[in-house]
Amino acid sequence: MAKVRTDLMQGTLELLILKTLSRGPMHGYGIAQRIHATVDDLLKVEDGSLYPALYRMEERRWIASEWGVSDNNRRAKFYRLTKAGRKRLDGEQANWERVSLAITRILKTA
Amino acid sequence: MNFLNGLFRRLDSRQAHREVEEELQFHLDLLTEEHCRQNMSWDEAQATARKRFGDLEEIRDECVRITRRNHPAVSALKWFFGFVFVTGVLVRVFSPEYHLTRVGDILMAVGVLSRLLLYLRGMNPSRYVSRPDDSSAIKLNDSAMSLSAYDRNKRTPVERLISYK
Repeated sequence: MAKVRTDLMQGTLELLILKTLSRGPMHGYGIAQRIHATVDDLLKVEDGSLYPALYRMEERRWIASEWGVSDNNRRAKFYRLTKAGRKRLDGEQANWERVSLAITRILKTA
Repeated sequence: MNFLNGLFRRLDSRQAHREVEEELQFHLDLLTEEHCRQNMSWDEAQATARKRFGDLEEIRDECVRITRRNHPAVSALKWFFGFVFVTGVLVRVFSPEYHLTRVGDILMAVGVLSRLLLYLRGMNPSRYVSRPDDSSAIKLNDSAMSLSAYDRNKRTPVERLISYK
């Protein structure tokens, strides 16, 4: 059986994170859990890979972070979407839908 | 060069490193607890958590690198050396005396080289930043909520961590 490619396209992880954070502030583990729960086994997202992406997104001011207390009373870093991040999410989502639609059409017709 | 290396280390401090470690450790602890709830043994749960998490050291170093790149003090230094360069240009252009134009040249050189050094440092910090010592390596959290106290084999959190390497 052929191995199914589940690598994420470049920028996709950022889109997933932005979309996840649009629901509200979350810590890294919460983001990972939400993504795993949503994509189920369709995509394989290594938990650790979220963090460099989160730090880069914070560098670009798409998200902001602050330390708080988690449900289990431990200090945790919470991330939230900024105004720039929401704008980015809207743009990326529209772009993704357009590309996805185009590819789907080609696959169905070619 | 040694002076600049020392300066960078002081500016970076260990704060960024500690915060990244704490954040990653929080995630690993919760993953371990999650696996424990699925009836795995503690050791098995921790090994599975580390596997699911990915290359811990690589991820930590990458996060620290990004954090240090954006350190406010580094940004301030960039502005400062930019100012030094502009001052050098102004002195060079408007100074009527020969020896002052030399000063302008030196200021320009210092400004450009320092900015270049800061840029290179952001690109490849391993040349300038020493590896963290053992005392700052990721440790398991010893709060009561986490599964990080001495285990049934009487191993310390650090010993357990080493056994997985």
